[in-house]
Amino acid sequence: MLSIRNLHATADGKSILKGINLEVPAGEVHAIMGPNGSGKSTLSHVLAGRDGYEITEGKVTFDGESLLEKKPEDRARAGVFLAFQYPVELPGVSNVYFLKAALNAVRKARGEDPLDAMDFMKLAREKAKLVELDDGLVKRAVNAGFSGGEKKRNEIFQMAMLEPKLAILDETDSGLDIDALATVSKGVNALRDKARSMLIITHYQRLLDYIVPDVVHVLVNGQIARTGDKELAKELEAKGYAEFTGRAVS
Amino acid sequence: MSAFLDSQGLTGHKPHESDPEWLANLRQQACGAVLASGLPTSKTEAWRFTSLRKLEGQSVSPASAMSGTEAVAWAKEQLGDDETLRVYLVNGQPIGESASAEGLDVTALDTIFLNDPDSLKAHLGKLAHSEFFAGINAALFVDGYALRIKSTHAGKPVHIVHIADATTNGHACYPRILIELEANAQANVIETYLSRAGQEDVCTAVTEVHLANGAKLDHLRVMEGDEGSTHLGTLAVLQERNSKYTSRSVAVGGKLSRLEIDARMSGPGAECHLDGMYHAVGSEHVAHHTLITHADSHCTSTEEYRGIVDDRAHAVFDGIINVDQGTKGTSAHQQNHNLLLSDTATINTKPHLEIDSDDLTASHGATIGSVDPDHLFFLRARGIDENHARSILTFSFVRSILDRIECEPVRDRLTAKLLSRLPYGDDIAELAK
Ligand SMILES: Nc1ncnc2c1ncn2[C@@H]1O[C@H](COP(=O)(O)OP(=O)(O)OP(=O)(O)O)[C@@H](O)[C@H]1O
Ligand SMILES: [Mg+2]
Repeated sequence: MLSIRNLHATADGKSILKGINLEVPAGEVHAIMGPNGSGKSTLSHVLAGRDGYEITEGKVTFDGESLLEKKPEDRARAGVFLAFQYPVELPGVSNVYFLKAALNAVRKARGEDPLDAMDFMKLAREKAKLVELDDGLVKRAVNAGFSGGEKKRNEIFQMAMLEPKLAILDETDSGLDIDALATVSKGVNALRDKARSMLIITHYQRLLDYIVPDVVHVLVNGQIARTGDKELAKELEAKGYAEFTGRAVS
Repeated sequence: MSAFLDSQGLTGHKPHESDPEWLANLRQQACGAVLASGLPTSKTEAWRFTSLRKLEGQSVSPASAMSGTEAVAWAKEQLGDDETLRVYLVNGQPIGESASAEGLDVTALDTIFLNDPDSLKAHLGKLAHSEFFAGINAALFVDGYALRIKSTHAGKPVHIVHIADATTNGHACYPRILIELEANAQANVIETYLSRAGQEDVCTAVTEVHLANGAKLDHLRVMEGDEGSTHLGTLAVLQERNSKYTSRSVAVGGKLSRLEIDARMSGPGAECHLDGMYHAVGSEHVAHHTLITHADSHCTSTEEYRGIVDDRAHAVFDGIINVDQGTKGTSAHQQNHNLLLSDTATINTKPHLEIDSDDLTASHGATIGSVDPDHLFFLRARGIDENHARSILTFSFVRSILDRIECEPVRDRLTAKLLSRLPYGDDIAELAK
């Protein structure tokens, strides 16, 4: 599904990704952990096609096609979804309008007919239930005045609506209270599918108790320093990253 | 002497026959002031960013309202049915029936000059200063409307539709409106300035507003010109104790559109809210100059202007809040936000406070920026194409101002008008609903 070979990326002349290799087969859930500033969000942005990064080396293929030349909207239409670490607020743009435009653009790319207002609302209500996102929030402006947790639920709600092939979740657990973490995880698990891959970026093993990954990678200083199974996350939780960064934890 | 002033007959100007003496004097003074000063130049602070050099050389003889009924029919088609009580002026002259309703009297100034001229003496020509274009209007206006609103008035908004309709032998018009609300009266007044048929026209407009104690006016003022129209507007407001004035300016077209607002709160507890939305494309020039004076204590003012500037267009915001010495309990807040869509567009913004009091809360601020790249990326990362995403973000930058327009059909029409002017605006018709 997703294949990353020797990916190098810089931003403002600073080298951030320094040779990433990663294979995520269809249906698998991979977790990425790593210290602050190691390049996790950068990797997610590069995959989604954000401006401002220069790819100096390497190749990414998604579903057999080269990804890096594509515009962000074309990647989304091909099935790439990024749940943002810091979701933006868009006052003046209703969730309903925005999501209907997004969904119909994605449906069109899949060769499906656009949904009319009624079918769309029906689907939205159903998917909002999945992450227990309040109906009122669905109708409000995108994230405007949402709490941190509500913003994160909204991201997963969008994912549920768009049904991507590859979902990259960047610290979706940060800012969630204990109950919300369980709810959102349940929503994500409901979307696990043999045709859908997930890349889950997190700092906390606790999320991985809910969303159990097939593979865990440790990203340090722009490279994958180790790959293992879910036990690796537990080990990191206990020992920290000292082993990888060469710095002792006091 | 400029061709512009010469051609309008300011030199050797004589008062109109129907003018009462006080008005004849007023006209003479205004005429003298304008001839003495000439047109403002870039050295005049309030005109630093708006060049009149082209206008100065232009001959603009006053236009008559000969084709009045035709122009009104045209305006009706433009505006559709908006559930308002309408009156029309073509080139500053009332055409067709005037309006009346419970507690509302709308009468042509000319009619009042014949029957009861002194009833206009208190405010007509007294609220607006008579420099430059307001002075030209004072000297030359022929007719207009007086709206007098009593506390018993309720119901539909009054819509004053101004049509500048240049003909081959006349290009200039001088619409004059006086709005008086008696104590505790409430009203909703809309003024729309339209320009017909892409001809060169110059509309020098003055509206004077007086709010007696506890009166409340919601005033929407629309500048909707075309590639040939020059609009030089003055809006002067005098507010007494506990009155509340809200002005909303919408500028969606015109070669040169300038509005000068002078609002004075002269009694305690008054509230003044000025906001506005402008969109300038091509080589359009749009300018808002506002002056709010807190002349008494416990008055509140807020200001929020938001604009979109594209191509080689030029937008100006120049706002002054004046807080008089010795006043207490003042609250004054002013904001101007601009979205710059092109490298060749120009924005000048100058918010400022002139404060002679230490018992107040006040703030002011201005921003100029382009579409936020994080917002753009978010929308694109969800599958929305770039042009569509840009138009969503552009419209949403100003929509909060349009959304405040209470009269729904008017709000919808102006929103549609804005969308028709935005790149890919048609794609987002549904967003505006
Ligand atoms: N545009 C940029 N210009 C310069 N440096 C950048 C830029 N974007 C990111 N960086 C730097 O790259 C490094 C990686 O940032 P990134 O956001 O990918 O880290 P992260 O692993 O997601 O961290 P966190 O766990 O704190 O979210 C950081 O040192 C960051 O400051
Ligand atoms: Mg990050």
